[in-house]
Amino acid sequence: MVKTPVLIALTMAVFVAGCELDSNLFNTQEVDHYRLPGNTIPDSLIEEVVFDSDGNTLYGYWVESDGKRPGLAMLYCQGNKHNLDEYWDRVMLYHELGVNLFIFDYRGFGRSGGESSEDGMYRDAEAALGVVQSEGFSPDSIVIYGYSLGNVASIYLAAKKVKPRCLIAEAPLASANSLTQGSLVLDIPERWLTDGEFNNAERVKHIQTPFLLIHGEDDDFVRWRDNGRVVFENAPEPKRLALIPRAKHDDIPAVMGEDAYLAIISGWITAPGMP
Amino acid sequence: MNRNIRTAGALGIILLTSCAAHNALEPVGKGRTVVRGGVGGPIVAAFGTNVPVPYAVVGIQRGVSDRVNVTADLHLTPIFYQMAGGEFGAVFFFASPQSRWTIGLGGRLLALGSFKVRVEERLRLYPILSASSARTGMRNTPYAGVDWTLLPHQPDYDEEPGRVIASPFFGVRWNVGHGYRLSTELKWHGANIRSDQTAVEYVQIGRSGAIATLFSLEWQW
Repeated sequence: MVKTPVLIALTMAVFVAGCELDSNLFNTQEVDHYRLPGNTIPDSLIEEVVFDSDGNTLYGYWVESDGKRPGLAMLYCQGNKHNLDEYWDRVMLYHELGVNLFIFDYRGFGRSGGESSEDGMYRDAEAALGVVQSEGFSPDSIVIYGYSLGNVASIYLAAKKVKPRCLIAEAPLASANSLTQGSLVLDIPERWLTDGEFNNAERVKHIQTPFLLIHGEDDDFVRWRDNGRVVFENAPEPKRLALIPRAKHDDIPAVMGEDAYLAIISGWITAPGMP
Repeated sequence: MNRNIRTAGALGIILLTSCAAHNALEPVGKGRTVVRGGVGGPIVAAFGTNVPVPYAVVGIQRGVSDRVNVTADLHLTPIFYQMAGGEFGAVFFFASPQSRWTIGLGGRLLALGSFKVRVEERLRLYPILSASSARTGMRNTPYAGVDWTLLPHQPDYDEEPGRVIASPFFGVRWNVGHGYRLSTELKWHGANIRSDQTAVEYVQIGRSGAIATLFSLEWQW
């Protein structure tokens, strides 16, 4: 029979420890090796990169330009799903832009060691930026691209650490609070259900680089109305919006067509007035 | 992003309206008391299937006159999120206690609080109005009604929020003997709110609301 003091202790433990939704933002999947599914990029252009972030060993891939735009590098901050294998189709797509590209797994994802956290994402993004710069690229030749949760890292970099050539945000959340309020309908105050802020809406105010936002009008997860719209309105000029009709959270290239999708990005990273 | 947060986020959704099967179906009777425990919530996509969120409440209902019940419910699940939740209110019945049909109009206050550190605002109050009708006088009691949850605050990021959440429901209260009754209920939470663009993947009607299954066991003395 369970003694009353034990029950009280268990109850107190629940109170003290509590539950957070933050950890659920990180849908990590560890792997022993990357598959790079469906890869069509020549192996000679792909290099595995192992680097350090706060003592955690992180893994990524440097994909060299096919020669069309060798002077530009894209740092791709992926979303929260599993690991970089999930985003390899995007890597192949961006490779068609002719730029160099670096994609990496945040700590806790894929082969990268450590435990996922909001602060960890920031440290890992800084380390990844260091990798790109170590390849000889100055900030004005670096395009930072964030997708979904990855915008937390990319917007952080552009707001706090570097003035890149430009910043591209695809389907960004406004903040952890925007997600919880949108889902609960109730206006639950900030931090009641999450400890992290993931506050793109505030941080984007401090970027000093041309900003392109791409968002699906029918995004079924990060709703345009209270996420992308807020981020875009808070971003300083110069900025451009590509609101894609009928597109959801993860199908923008498919809905608008890959050529049209790449044309938007290509037009932005080579726009007149860019460094 | 992915379904993982959709699942976890769902654990809080039921906070938005009442969280157990409707039990104020008829006058309890002056001086009499009903206690109950309930579990259930919106059906969400999780683990490769659709499952109801296990949201738990306990409550008490007491008759203060032949036509008025007062109710109080304590929400248990929010405790795991370092939150406290409770509902307090009253229901007035138009029909007499001997009528075969009852119509009840109620009002209650949903109070949510947080006892986390680093939280600036600790209390939110949401008025809830409800109307219900039940066919009494039989062994089992079918009923239907609707809750309206009023939203007095403006969400931080949404310029087009709903001001009222309408949640119709219907169910049957089964007399299982020895003073115990089991309520089974289907509720359409937020029937007037679009829910197809949220982090939680609900079972909807059209593109709105969240279908919930609710169960409640009550005992009267």
